[in-house]
Amino acid sequence: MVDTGDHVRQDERSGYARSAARWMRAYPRRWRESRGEELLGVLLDLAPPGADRVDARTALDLVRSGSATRWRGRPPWPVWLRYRLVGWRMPTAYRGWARDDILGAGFWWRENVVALAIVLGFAMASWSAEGAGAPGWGYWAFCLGAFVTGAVYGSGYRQQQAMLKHVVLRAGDPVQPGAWVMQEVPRRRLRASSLLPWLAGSLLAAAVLLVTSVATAPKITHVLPTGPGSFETVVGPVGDRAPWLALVAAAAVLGGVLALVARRRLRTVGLEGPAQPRRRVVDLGRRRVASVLVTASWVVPLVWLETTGRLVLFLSVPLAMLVLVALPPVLVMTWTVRRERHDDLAARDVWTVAGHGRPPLPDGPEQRAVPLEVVGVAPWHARGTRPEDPPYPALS
Amino acid sequence: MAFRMTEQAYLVLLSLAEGPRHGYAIVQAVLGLSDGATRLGAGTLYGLLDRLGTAGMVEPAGEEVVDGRLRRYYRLTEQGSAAALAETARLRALARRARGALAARPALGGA
Repeated sequence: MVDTGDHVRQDERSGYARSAARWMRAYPRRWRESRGEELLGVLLDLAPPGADRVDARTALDLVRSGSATRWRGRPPWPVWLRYRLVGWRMPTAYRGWARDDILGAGFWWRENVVALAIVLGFAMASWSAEGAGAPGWGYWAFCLGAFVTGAVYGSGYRQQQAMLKHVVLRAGDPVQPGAWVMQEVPRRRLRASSLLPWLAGSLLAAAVLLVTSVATAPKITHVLPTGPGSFETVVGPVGDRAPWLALVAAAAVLGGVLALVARRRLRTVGLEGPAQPRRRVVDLGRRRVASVLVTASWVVPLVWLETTGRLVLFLSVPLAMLVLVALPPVLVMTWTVRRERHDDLAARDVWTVAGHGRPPLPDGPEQRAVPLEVVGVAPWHARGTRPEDPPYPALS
Repeated sequence: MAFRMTEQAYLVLLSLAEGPRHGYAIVQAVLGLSDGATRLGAGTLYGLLDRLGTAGMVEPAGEEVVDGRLRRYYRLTEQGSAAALAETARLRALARRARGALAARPALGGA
């Protein structure tokens, strides 16, 4: 009857282990980190011979037990409400729960969905009360756009702030497994070869759209003097478009001059910088790519509204000028980095050389929240430190 | 929250009475103790170990890596032993009362 459990051959293990790991996501992240490997070992021991995926009974057992573990570890409702709605600091006992919540997928949406539901609920109630009918699709598109923009810009920052507030240890906090501390770490810089092509592409697309809008928008606001010191504004056809196009062209010329300056600086100063032992060059990542694309995509509805005459020609002119001033230098920087194959170069360095005309400086470290490496093994069911524990463990 | 002694939790405590065991060995021991009736799933087992650990009835007793798999051993604490003994006494008393109740039933008629 006794089964050694070693019948899952090495080559079969990976498929079964992958399947088991997927189902184990029912457990909270902190639980998986401390005991997931052990549970996986037992699952592999119990696996029938030749199985390459978890059977339905085991999967159901994992989902049920994982959900129960989540339920047992949850904070009480009053604590949860204070944390979610008012942002009160999580009590020590639920700091692990808060860490999982903050680092889990969709934290920004969870954090805002309650507030959004309240706002929308009131809005819908007032609309139905006044008999004005449901708002049009443009309103919802704007809300969605604003929400998505907030998500791509705000989520990373909010996540960091929430970690600082709820999870990073403060003076007097008991030290627990899973606590985080502020520590000096290599400063993160964006890789130039990763950022610049996205930036250049977005600026180019925005420039084409905005110039199209300046060249074709049918309506504009005219200011008509009606007497000494008084005027009125009238929406009418654009008429002579030359002054607006001239402004945009002037911006493009200025951009060209800046591009020449940038090119000369990149050649004379060069991109060779000092050694950067306190720096980590990182790629753009999905979230930052999304923020570049979302920013650029706001131009699309603006241009559509202006070229169809739903909005007067106004915002496109200064935006087109800004974009055309920035685009040529960015193209020069992108081209230089691409030609010289500087793969480990930070975008910051390229900007220091092209924008300021001086060689890059060595970076200092930055303070970031990092998991506390507790010396020794903390008991897996520990809820806090005991009196005999050292007050503050050494960092590895 | 008070610990609720279920049959599965009792069987896990009994399986650890002989000495420390790892997860897979507990599943096998429970299968033997229950005469094949209770086949613990891994998820159920770890739910029980969590509850028993929080109640102070079991504690980890070292770990080892076998064939690339982490095996953590668990052992009974004094509190766990006491809980297992108390549950055994309760079941013994129940069995005694059950025998008394069954002995007192009227004899079945018929052939």
